[in-house]
Amino acid sequence: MLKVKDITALTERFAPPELQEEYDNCGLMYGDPEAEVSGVLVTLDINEKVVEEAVRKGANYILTHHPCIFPSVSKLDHGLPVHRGFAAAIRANIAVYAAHTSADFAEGGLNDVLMKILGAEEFHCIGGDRRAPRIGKLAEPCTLKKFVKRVSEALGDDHILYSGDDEKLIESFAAVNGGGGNEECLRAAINAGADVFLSGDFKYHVIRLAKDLGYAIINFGHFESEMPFVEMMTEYLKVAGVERVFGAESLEKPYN
Amino acid sequence: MNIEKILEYQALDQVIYKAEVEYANSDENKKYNVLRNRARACSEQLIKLDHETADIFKELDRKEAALADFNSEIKARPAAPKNLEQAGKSDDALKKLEEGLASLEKECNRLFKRLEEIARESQQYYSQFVKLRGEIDAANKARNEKRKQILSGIAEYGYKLNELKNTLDPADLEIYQKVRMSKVKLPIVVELKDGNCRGCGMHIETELHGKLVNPGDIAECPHCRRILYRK
Repeated sequence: MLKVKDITALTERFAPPELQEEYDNCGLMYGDPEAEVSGVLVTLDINEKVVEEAVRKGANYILTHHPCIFPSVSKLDHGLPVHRGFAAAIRANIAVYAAHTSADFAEGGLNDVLMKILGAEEFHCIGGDRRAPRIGKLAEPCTLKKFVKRVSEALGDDHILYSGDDEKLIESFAAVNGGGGNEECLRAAINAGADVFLSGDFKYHVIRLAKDLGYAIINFGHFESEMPFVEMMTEYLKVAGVERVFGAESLEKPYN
Repeated sequence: MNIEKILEYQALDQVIYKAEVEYANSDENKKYNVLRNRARACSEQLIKLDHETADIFKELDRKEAALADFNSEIKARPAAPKNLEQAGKSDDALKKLEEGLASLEKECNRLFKRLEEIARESQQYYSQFVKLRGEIDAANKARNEKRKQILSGIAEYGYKLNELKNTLDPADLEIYQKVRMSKVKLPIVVELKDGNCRGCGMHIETELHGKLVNPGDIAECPHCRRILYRK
């Protein structure tokens, strides 16, 4: 039977921790590396419901995208659902591993998967930097309005916001999964010649900047753009021969 | 058990079963499984190499401790021998230390060399694994297409089967499904005729015949686990 250290090593081969952002906290957050793994539950976030699901399914290893704690955290706060979830996992002796920005930037990782989902025929990292947005060409160019519809369908996201001329022809696009809607990424996309930049969690000043520059942006849901993490890692571990791997079903969309 | 109803259900289920067998034996599904097994083998090798690496690091920790012991011994030696006898002993001790250190160095070099080999082997296996993942993706798409194609040909049977399922006694269905899930080839509900199971053809002991007296009586074939009934 595979051990915690084996699942961790398999995960880290795919998503090397050295790829993570400085602020991040990828790695094994709790668990005995020598403990045998009865099952793995892959999730985007941890809360008490997710831990209950792991217990119900007999999984004692949770692979989460978002870490439950960051280096700046000095205590577990009972008022925070994510901390309560983490504490519940510890009580149930469930190992918790976070593959966050390490999985975003990995080769074949979340950003690459997202580009494929959004319809990129071919794509690469801007400037060859794995931490930069991906830029790619659409297999079938279309207007911005149509592209927004496609993105909405591809991600199952009904709350997409966008800015730009509806009739603008989109041949290429740049994207960052999750909350990459910042000025640095926007400028990288513009400089790389992408017709539109897609990400989540845009701040007002970034949207204003794009609008005033006459540049198209699409703001998709952080959750929707990162949910592919569950299938990506579930499939990866299954192919690697891990017997009992489950995608979490109890994690709800944050928006109605 | 309502034999008539369950036989009706089984007749439809046999069409589904045939489709399942066709899918399982399809080239698309076989190719997918072969690739999955290869990927799993690669992954197993990677895990093995990870374990070996961890063992080597533990061994290197022990070597480091041994080196510290040697250093302590060297430091503990008297600065200069006071007579010939002491000089002889000191010489022997030095030779021993020298041999020990040389052997430690040799052993460490061997471990470092193996670590380099492991890094190379791991790289090769992982590249192979990544390549296989791509092939598995494509094979999975192909087998899903095959599945769709097979299913489209039997869609109406699926609907009918579901309709019929609702008219069956849940207890009868449970018995049937239990055997169905246990990989017994269809038909599952078979007649006991001329003292033989019509499923596997084996002779059934007469004491079991006594269980099949009234209409609806059933028994389990002790050879193939099919459900026996008598007309």
